[in-house]
Amino acid sequence: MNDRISPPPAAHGIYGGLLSAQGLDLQQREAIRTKVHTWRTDAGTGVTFVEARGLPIVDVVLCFNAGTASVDPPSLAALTLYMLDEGSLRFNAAEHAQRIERLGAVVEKQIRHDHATLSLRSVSTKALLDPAIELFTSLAAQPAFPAPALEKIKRQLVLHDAARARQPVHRARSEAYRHLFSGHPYGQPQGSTAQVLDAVTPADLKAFHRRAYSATNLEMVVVGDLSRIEAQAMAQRISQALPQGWAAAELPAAPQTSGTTINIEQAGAGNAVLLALPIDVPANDPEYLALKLACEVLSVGSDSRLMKALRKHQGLTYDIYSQLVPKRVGGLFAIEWEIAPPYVKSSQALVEAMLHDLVLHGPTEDELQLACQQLAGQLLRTVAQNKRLAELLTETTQQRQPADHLNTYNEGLAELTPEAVRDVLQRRFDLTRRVLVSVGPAADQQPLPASDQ
Amino acid sequence: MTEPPKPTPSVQSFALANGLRVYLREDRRAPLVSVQLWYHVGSIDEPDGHSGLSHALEHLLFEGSSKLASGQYSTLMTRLGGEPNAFTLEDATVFPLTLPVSRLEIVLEAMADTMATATLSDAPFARELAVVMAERRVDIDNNPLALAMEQHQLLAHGNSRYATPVIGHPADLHAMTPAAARTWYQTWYHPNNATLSVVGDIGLQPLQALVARHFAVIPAHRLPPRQTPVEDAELTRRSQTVHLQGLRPGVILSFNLPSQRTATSNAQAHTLRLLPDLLSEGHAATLRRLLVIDEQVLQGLKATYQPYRRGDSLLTLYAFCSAHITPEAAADRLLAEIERFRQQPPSIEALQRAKARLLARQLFARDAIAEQAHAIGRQAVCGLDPIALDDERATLEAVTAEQVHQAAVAYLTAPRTAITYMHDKERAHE
Repeated sequence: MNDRISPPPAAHGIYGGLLSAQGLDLQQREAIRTKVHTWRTDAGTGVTFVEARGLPIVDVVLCFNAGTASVDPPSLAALTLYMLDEGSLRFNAAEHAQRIERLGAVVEKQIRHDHATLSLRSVSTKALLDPAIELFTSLAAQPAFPAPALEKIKRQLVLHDAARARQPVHRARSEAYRHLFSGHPYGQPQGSTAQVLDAVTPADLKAFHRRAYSATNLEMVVVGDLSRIEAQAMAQRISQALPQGWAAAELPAAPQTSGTTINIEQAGAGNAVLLALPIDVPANDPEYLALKLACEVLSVGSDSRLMKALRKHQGLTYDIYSQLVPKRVGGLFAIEWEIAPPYVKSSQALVEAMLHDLVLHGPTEDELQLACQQLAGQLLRTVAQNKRLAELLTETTQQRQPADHLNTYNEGLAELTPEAVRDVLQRRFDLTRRVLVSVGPAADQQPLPASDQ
Repeated sequence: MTEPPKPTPSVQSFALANGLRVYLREDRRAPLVSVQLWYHVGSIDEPDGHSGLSHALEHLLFEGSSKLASGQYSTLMTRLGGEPNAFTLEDATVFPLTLPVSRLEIVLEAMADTMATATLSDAPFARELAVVMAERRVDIDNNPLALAMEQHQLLAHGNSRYATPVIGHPADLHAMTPAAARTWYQTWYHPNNATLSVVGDIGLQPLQALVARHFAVIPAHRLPPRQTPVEDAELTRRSQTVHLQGLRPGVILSFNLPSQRTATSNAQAHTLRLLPDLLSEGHAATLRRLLVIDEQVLQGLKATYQPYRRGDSLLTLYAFCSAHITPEAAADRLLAEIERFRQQPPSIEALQRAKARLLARQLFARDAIAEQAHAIGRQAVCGLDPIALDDERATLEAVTAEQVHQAAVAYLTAPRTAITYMHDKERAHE
């Protein structure tokens, strides 16, 4: 059946021969109209709320400034979070689990450098939501931290962290952090060793919880099938139950580091490779949007420069992608990919050269347009889902973005010109400080094979 | 327990004269639509020596067609606000897209064009095959647990075609030719072997008009006969040991179970779906409470059951050992507790808890229109009727403790057991 086909119509521009696309105006976008409410509870918790009545679901996210960078040893922050569902002053762990799981409610926990996050997803029916909120509150506010459970969680954490440290991608990331944040809490090894954990007692957890899980050290996000009045009452209840009156201290500034290359030899079939740059542009800085666009142009999506260079032209990797990771202080820009052992160095050289070229010359108008469309589509899909909207709002709240941030995001991106993006890149990216990491088997290094196109 | 309100939208359906079946669930919460073209062909259809062919073809589909140049599909879909993607399963090859509903027709036209006129020329083949091998390297070969799981599938499925790895055996990938990919396309990519699953901000009539406009001209085609992959006729208890560098010590344990399609009754089909929540999912689940939390023989435990398959399925438990516990000892404890679970019906509390969790998850899955369209497509390619999704809730609620007991007695048996003991090669000499 293929011999009937005429050659692909390259002359048709971006729509090819698609008749239904004729006359389409790509600049016409669906506007984002997410109505975000914000307020502060009497106990001092910041609350962000979106009413979404389409489904009988409520999502609640509690994001405490209680991450691993907020305490020494960092594992104390992880242990405290993981111990929350090991029993409260009201119920032991088994009773608690039985009660909350019978409601169909789901509790998730996540620990990062800057935050400890607890989230609840529940059916919105009052008879299910009320007891779910009550159990969730006692879990966050009144943990019992029983000693036997602590010993169990310690053992799990040691094995979990050891397994994670062996995964090439995680190992590469932790090496980058260790270098870029040398001497800073972000640069501390995240893995927990039995030695460090041995010294941690239930009293340490209680003391940390009393401070770090206090109402003033918390940002709360609520999305779903409830009114603002109901959300206010719920937020009030949760924040009143928490310890009161403490907020995390500011972190020290990120250190000035110079560029380096780190190769970790480890058995395996391929190498995890990473190129990272330190950045010092907060996400609510106007110049951050320019970096975001540059990041998309370079290595997000199948049309990005690096995907074309490594995957589409040469089939050398399955995926290469970059991200900006803004943190409470400083942050980083990281490009990650996987490659066969002989091409570690040559692929690093190519990526570095292409990054250099982007900084020197900036993106093209067409690339910027595509990047804006890619980000606009992503935002539209994200705000359409309660759970992903709640996650996004948790992020933007931490970034201290204004309340209308989501609704003005696309306009902010569309205003940027290639020159403006290039200027920001040249001022904000210091390529002499780049860190290159590879984790995997060593091999004789070869140049990249010639492109087939 | 108070019953949560039922979400209103249900699934509607129509078919074109050429056999293309279309399902729609209206969801008006956002001006978006998720449109997914599911071809009823996957790794279970691949003959010996040709594993990975469906997946390789998936990679090649947008390398040019009568209206689109190579790579143009993904650029255009990104510009339209979608995230171009594709994936291959045991039972299906899927091309999903979620984007503003105002652009739906362009997607339909592009999908129809690739159904009828994909070029599949030699030029991009070698490069995409290299990409597939890179994908295998990162997802499987460089991941000891994934390698152990691949080995385990072979053991648990035996002669069933579900043993075939979706991405393909390395030797088969090396031997693959562009001609084989073209033949595979000409054999299976026809409207009468596809389902279009749509969820979003559109009604049935406008959708019908758009689908007919672009797909109706594509002729139906005779399909080769195919068999439903069923479990081996003579099942016996199977076990193997894998030693891999960096593999976390543990055990993978499977039982051969029917799928929703091959279960003896609708009631039984839904009963089987409760097993993971009864056994191990959540902190109050029997095995987790006992083996991970109280005895601490295990450090982690997860159970999965894939209900949507054309043929027979598996219940699989993944467990990581605590320090100083061997995979063999961990497996013995797991099997002993599963045997105990088999001896009597679960308590009413345990059953209520498992149902509440499963039903809530199904409600939560409504949050994403792409997930809804996925569930519909998955049922359709297995030969199930997605319109029956609306009755699921009542059927699940009606499952009794005695039905769970009967299912456990029938299926959690020694001959149906396949065990893979996972050892870390580096620690093997200790």
